[in-house]
Amino acid sequence: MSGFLPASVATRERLGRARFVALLWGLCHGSAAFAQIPAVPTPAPVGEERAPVAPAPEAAAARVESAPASPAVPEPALERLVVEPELLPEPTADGKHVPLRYTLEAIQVRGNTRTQRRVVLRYVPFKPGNVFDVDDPEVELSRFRLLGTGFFRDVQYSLKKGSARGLVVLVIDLRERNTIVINDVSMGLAADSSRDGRVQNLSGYAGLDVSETNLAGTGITLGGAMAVASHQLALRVRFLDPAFLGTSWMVGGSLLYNNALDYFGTSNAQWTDPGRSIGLGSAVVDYTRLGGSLGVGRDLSVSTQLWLHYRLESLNASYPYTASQVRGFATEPIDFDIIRGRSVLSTLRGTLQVDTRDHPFLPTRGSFTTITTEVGLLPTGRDYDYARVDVQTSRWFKLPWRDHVLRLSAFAGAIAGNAPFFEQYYVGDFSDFLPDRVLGVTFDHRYPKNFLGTSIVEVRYGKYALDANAEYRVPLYRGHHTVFGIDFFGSGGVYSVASDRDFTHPPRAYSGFARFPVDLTFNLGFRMDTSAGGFVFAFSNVLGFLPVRGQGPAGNE
Amino acid sequence: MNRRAVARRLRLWAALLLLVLPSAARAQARPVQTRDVLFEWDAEAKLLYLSAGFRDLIDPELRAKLSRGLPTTIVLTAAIYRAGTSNAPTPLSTTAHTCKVTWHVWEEAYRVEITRPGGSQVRWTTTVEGVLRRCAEVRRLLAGTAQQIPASTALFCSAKVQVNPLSPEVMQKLKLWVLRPSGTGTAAPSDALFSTFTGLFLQRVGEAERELKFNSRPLVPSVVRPSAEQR
Repeated sequence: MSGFLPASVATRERLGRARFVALLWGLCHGSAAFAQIPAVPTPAPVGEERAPVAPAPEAAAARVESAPASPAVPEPALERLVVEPELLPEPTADGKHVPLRYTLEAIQVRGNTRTQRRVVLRYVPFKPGNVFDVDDPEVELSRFRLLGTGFFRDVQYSLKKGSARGLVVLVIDLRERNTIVINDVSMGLAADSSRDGRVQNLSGYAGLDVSETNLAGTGITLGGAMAVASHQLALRVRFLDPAFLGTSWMVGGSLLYNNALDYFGTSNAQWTDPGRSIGLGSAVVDYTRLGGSLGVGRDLSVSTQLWLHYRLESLNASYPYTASQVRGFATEPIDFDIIRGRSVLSTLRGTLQVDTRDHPFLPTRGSFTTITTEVGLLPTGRDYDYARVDVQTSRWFKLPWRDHVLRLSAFAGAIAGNAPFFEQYYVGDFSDFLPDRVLGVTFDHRYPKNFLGTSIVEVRYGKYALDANAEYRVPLYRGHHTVFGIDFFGSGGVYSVASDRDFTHPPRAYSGFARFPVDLTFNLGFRMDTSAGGFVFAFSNVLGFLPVRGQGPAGNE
Repeated sequence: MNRRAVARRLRLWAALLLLVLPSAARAQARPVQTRDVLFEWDAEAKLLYLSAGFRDLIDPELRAKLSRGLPTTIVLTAAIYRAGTSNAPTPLSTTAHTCKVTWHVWEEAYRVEITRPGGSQVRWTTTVEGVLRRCAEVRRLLAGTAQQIPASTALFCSAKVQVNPLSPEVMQKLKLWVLRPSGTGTAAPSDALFSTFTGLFLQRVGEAERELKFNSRPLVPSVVRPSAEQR
């Protein structure tokens, strides 16, 4: 069988006339080529329209043009090329040619030394016995899907003859690649702020996140991450099975261990610890987290993914028995928001993600939205009973001039209940002038910049957060080797992090608008998309080390 | 960190950027090739024809792929300009030539579907040479009419040849899928080094498997069929 449909009677009559004219032409001009037009094949029975039909091999041999006898012979103009009209597929009703179709006999996978065959076939939508249309766009798309897994350096499809005429074998040739990827590298300097706003107590920190995305050729991802700083350590191990038991459900999980410190008290903090008597400066929480999470996920569409995670952690925290800070002009006790000694954290989290961006690192259009809901589960861990909702959305616009890009982002989050401090919103996650948390650990203990002179400087963790941000990107370079793109960006936004107390009892040193813990954040730098990954060279973090005098907590003045 | 240290750090960043950006700018400036083409003016029919060759685009790897049984599409698009116009001239006319080659595994012959101004035709050939003759060369491709092309004027063309170009719709679908590959989740797009495989892959895909851009030298079309007046 082949892709040819039976010629209609009209076509046969037309071809018969063509043969007659060609014969006359050949006799007059001594050309043999035109005299070779064979007879029209007998039409196939009605009902085989969708089935591939192959012409007889002996006829086919006469139907094709042979190679030119000599390169010196001038080639005919396109309009005068030899035409084998009997090989023209039957035009359809709309005048287009019918595509070639075969029956798929088998799928052969070659070159997969590590990746299991079933993992490859997961991305191939064809099955033996299917009619295989060579023009089906799904053929090329499935090839790209295989490439997009990151398991292969090259993927090529080809067809070869099957065991009988009209049957074909789809051959998938693979070249595997290194599947160990570096997901994240972070390093920087952590610091504290002195009373006059100067930076002090510098210490370095570093983090690394590495994954094997095709563990033992199964398509399972196994990853690990580590972050270290002075007296602090965070570890993660995570896995993801993208097709659990061969189904379309994904299963993922992680194990975590954090042995970390956190610093409380923005100004004039005093604390009492029986072991170390009375201290001044930040009150330190020494805590460990040990646990893990297990989740199931599913793709709802090409751009939408839903996940449900259950998390169970054992916490162990120690901190001063009494601690106070000057908040505004009033001395108030510090609430560490974690249970002293051992406690259990048990939560259920649902995440819906819609991603329509056109590029992972330098998007020019589309949007990225995440909605996350997390609730503490009382039956298994009654220590922390809380609920948290986060909504984050970003949208990219390609501007009509010079391919500049505008991104608008917004974030809103709220926590109700007694969430541990590391689950609350950290001011450094919103201000570009402070480093983000790495694996949940806050290495830096400076207070944020305070451009608007508000009570934001009194806030470290909060249960409510709002952020509106805009970024303007100017493409500087587009390439195809090593460096794919460099964009200059400038961003600015306004954010707020607050706790219940900021609403019920605002710090007394502030009045009017300054009572609202709101401030601005800015950033500028370069985004580089390279073969080694995407990099951001931003300057705000460096500028964050410049002292901002007179804008610290009111209690320092 | 004191002011001096910060200033030192800023100077280091500036020096790094000065090193990186000029080399990037140099890499960006990709010269467009200049190639010989043939303009022919059919004075009787008042039509301009374009002939050009680009066999070098079909490298051995692509030649091998022609026999894989799946379609390979070679598309030429060209715009005709009046020679000597400014940097951003308006094209006088445009034309296109599309060639879709499919190896028929049972017939052991190439099915060549050619689409050009005026319609499409299907040819069959058993040899790669036959394919190249039809798809890597264009002969007397209708490129303009008397209403578009002024007579006896020097012209040049700006052409782009793509092998297996991806339609914007397919490209968009592909990018969406690669960003969030169904059943993989190998790395979150927010990860800093996400590009190590998906971004790299996207860059490799580009808009076509191969692409060639060239300009022709200015040329006054040769008259191949004089009009009655010229005769």
